Amino acid sequence: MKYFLLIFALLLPFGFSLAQTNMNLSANELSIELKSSDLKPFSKVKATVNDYVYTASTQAITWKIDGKTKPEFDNQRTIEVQLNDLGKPTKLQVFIKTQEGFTVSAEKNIVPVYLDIIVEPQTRTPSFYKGRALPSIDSTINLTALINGGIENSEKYIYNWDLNGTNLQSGGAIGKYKLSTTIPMGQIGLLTLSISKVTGEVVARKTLEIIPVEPEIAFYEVNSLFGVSHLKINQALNLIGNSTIVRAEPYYLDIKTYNQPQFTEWKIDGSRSPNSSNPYEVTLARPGGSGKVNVGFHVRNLETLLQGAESSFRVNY
Amino acid sequence: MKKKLIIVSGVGIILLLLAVWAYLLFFGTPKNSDELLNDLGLNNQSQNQEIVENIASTTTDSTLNTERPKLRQLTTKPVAGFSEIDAPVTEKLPVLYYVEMGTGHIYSLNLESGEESRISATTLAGTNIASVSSKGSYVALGNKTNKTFPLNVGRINASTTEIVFKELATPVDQFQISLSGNDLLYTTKENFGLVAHSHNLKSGSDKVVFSLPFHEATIQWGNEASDNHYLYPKSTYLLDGFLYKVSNGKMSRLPVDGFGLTALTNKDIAIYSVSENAVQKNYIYNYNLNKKTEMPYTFLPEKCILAVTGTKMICAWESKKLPTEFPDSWYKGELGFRDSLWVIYGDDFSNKFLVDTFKESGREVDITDLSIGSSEKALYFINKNDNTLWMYEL
Repeated sequence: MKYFLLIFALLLPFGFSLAQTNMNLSANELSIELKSSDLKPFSKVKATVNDYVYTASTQAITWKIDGKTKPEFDNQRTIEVQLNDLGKPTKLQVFIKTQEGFTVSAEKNIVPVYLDIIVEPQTRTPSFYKGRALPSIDSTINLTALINGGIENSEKYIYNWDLNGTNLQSGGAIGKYKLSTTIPMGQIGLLTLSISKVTGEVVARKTLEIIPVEPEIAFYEVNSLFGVSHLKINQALNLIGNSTIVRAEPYYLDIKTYNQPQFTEWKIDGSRSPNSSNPYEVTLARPGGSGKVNVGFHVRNLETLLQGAESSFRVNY
Repeated sequence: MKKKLIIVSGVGIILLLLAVWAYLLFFGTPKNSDELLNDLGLNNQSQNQEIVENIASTTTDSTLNTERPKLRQLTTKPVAGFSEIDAPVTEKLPVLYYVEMGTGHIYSLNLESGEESRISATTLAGTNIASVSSKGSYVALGNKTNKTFPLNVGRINASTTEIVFKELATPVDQFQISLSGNDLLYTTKENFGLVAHSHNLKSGSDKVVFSLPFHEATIQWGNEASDNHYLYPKSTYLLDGFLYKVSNGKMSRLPVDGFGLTALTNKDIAIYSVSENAVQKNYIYNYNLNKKTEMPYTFLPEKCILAVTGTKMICAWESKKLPTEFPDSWYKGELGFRDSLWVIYGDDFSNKFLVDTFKESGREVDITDLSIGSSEKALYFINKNDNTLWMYEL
C-alpha cells in the first residue's frame, strides 16, 4: 500500500499535465470537416465546423467561400457548398465570435478531384457481347484507380484499399493504383479506397458497392458459316433444318472455371448427352417426325459450388 | 325397330358426307365466311355492291408506283462491315462497299442503279467484323471468336478480284480504318491495359497512339490518329462508367459518369445515357457551355449518330419500358427493338420523325452501327437481328 501511494503520488503531476496539454491542443483544433468523400468537380459537399471549446460561448458564426462572405450560412455549423471545376480549389473559411468578444477561425482548401475506380470482373461473357462482365461470388475482379483520368502521379500517393472492412494489402502501399481481389460471400462488397500523400494528407476517398450476381446461362444457335447468332434463344428453339448447333454461354462464370470446368453436362429430355470437343456446344439433330424435347446444360466448379449455373430450353421440331 | 332406325340414320349420314365431299370436289372449299354465306344464299344485295365498288376503286388506284421507298434493305446476306465510297458530289446516290459475313467477300453496290458486283472473291472464312476505307482502297477483316482476334488487312485492287491479305502481328481488340484511309486504328490487350495503335496501311509502320491502365473500354475513335478520341469503360447497369478524352496521347476526365454509362460525342456535345435508381435517363453535355441537361428521350447513344459539329443527331428508338438490366439485356440479345428513326436537335430537344421501320417494312429492325457517308444522302445501318444492311434515304 505504501509503494502504491508512492507511485500514485509520483504519477499524479504527469496525469494533470497530460490532461492540461490535451485541453490546450483542443483549443487550437477548431477545424472544418467534410462530410462527403467524393470531391469531384461541381459536386455538392457538406462541411461542418468542429468546435468543441466554444460551443457554449459562441455568439456568431460566419462563413466565407473563396473569400466572399456568405450571409445565407450565418450561424450554421453545417453548410453545403458546390465545388469549383477541376484545377480550381474551393477555399472555405469559418469565423466564430465568442461571447468573450474574441474571434477564432479555421479554413480549408478543397481541391476537386475525380477519383474513378474501374471494376473489371474476370468473368465470362461471349465475344460479341459489347458490355462489361459482372462479378459473381468467388470470382476475381481487377480494380484500377484513376485520379483525374490518369495514373501519372500515382507514385506520389499511398493507396489504401479496403473491402468489407478488411484491408486488401495489410496497410497502404505507394503507387498501388491497381489491385486484384476475390468477391467474398455475401450480398454486397463495400469497397473503400483512400488515397493520401506521404505526409498523410488525404487527397481523395471513395466508397462503392460491388454487387455480385449469380452466373446464368444463355443459349445461342451457331451457324457454321456466320458464327454465333447474337439473338438469345428465349425459352424455345424451332428447329427448321435437320440439325443445328447450340452454344451455352455461362455469363458471369469466373473465367478460370469457364476455361477448366470441373463439371459440364448436356441433358436431352433428362438423358445425359456425351460431351463433344467443345463442352459448351451440342449438336441437335431432328429425330424424324415432329415433337419437342427439353435441352439442358449444367456447368459447375466442384470446389466453389456457387461458381456454376444450369438452365434449359425447349426444342420444337 | 330400333335397329332399323340406326341403319336408316347411318345411311343418311353417309349420304350427307358423300354430298359434302362431292360439293368440295367440284367447287372447292369456301375462302371466307362471306363466300360461305353467299353460297348459302344469305348474302344481301348491298354487300355485293360494296365488293364491286371496292374492286372498281382498286382498279382505278392501281397505277404503278415507280418511286423508290426511302427505307430499303440493301442485302439479304449478313454484313460484317461497310462504307459509302467517297465520290464527287452529284445528284445521284453513291456507291457502297460491303463485306459479306462468313466469307469476307467484298461487294460494290451502286445505290442509284441497284447494280451489285463482287470486287473481292478472296475468302477469309469466319469473317464477322470488318472495316472498309471510305476511299474504297483498303479493308480490314476480323474473325472475332474471342475477345481478341486476328486481323487481316488488304488493298482493294480494281483490276482483280483477288486481295492479298496480311495479318497483323498481334491479335486486336477493336479497330477502325481512319477517315482518310491512310491508317488502321486498333487496340491490343497488354498485361497492364489496353494500347491503341496507328498502323500506316501504305508503309506498314506502327506507332502507339495512347494506352490505358485497364482493358474493358469502348472506344469512339477520332477521324485520324492525331484527333481526339473518346472512351469509357464498357457499359453495365451495375457498375459505374466514366467518360474520358484522349488528346495527344494524354487521357483526361470529362464531367460525364454514371451506372450503365454509354456515350457518343462530337466536338461540341456528348450525349449519354445512365441508369439512375434503376431508371434509364439521357443527358446532353455541352462542352462549350460546360452544362449538362436532361433529355426528354430515352435512347441508347449506340443507336444514334451525331453531326460532326452542333447538336443535331439521328437516333433509332422504340418507346417501351426498359428493364433494370438495360443495356446488358440488349447486348445479350434477349431484348430487341422495332425501331423508328428520329432527328433530334439537342439545343431545344425538338424532333422530326423520319420512319417507323416496322410499319414501313413489316420487318423487326433493331438498328445498330449507324453511319452517314460523305454524300450525306443516306443513313446506313445494320439490323442486329440478322446483320443485314439497310439504308434510309435522307
